[in-house]
Amino acid sequence: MNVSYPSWWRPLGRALWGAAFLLLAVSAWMILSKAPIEVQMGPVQKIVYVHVPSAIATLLAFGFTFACSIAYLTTKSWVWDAMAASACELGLVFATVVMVTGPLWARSAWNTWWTWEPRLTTFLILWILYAGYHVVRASLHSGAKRTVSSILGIVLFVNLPIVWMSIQWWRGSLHPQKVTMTGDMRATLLESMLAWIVFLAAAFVTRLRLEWAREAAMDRESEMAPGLARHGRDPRDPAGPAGGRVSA
Amino acid sequence: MNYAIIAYIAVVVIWSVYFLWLRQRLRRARD
Repeated sequence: MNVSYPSWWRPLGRALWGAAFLLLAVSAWMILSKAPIEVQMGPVQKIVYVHVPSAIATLLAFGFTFACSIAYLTTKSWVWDAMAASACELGLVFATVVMVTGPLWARSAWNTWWTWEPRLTTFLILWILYAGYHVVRASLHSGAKRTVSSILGIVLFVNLPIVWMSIQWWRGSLHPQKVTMTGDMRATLLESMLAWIVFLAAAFVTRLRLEWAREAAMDRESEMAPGLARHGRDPRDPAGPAGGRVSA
Repeated sequence: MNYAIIAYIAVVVIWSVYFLWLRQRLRRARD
């Protein structure tokens, strides 16, 4: 089995990281000097330029996990599962950024760190469930890991439209359905979104290298001891059933 | 301190910790 990544993978990663840093630098410059200070909230409003792009990146990453999970169950090719797990991990980091920056915004805008309004509640449930994806994945070592992860990647996707539509489906949402912004504010937000989406793509390329390295290591192990590496080692092995390997 | 500054510092910290962890796992997988 060929588990080495293609020769263009590293140059692609470098190009994406270059673009991401450039776009993030432009975003920082726009946030600091171009976007006006909002009259009511003051400088705290500038949290929106990292909070909203991170939320969009979260949804994109989990949506990609969903698509790759379907592709894995259809083709049974490990690369799709590796892509799903990588995207899901990055989605969870972006979701954590949203969960940290959100209360800092809420404290200034709503005079509370947390409130059980629809968007906050559904997003917290989303975070917990996708964290559960990684807990389940890390607890499995055999071939079931990929199948179970893919099923979870598909089932958990149900949460995404619920989070997106929560401000319309339930009353009492503090998140506005429409936001009025000046041209400079909108331009800064759009540029920041682009920057964080390119950052997501660059981080995904880097994260997938870990899956490639792990698969290559498993391949080497199975060549050395056929029948053991793929299905977990002998439980009596002092390194443990997984051979001391930390699972994805 | 302004909450916006805290938020942006938090973003840098979260991603830095994540990439340090990722680098550690990459090294371990290659060994």
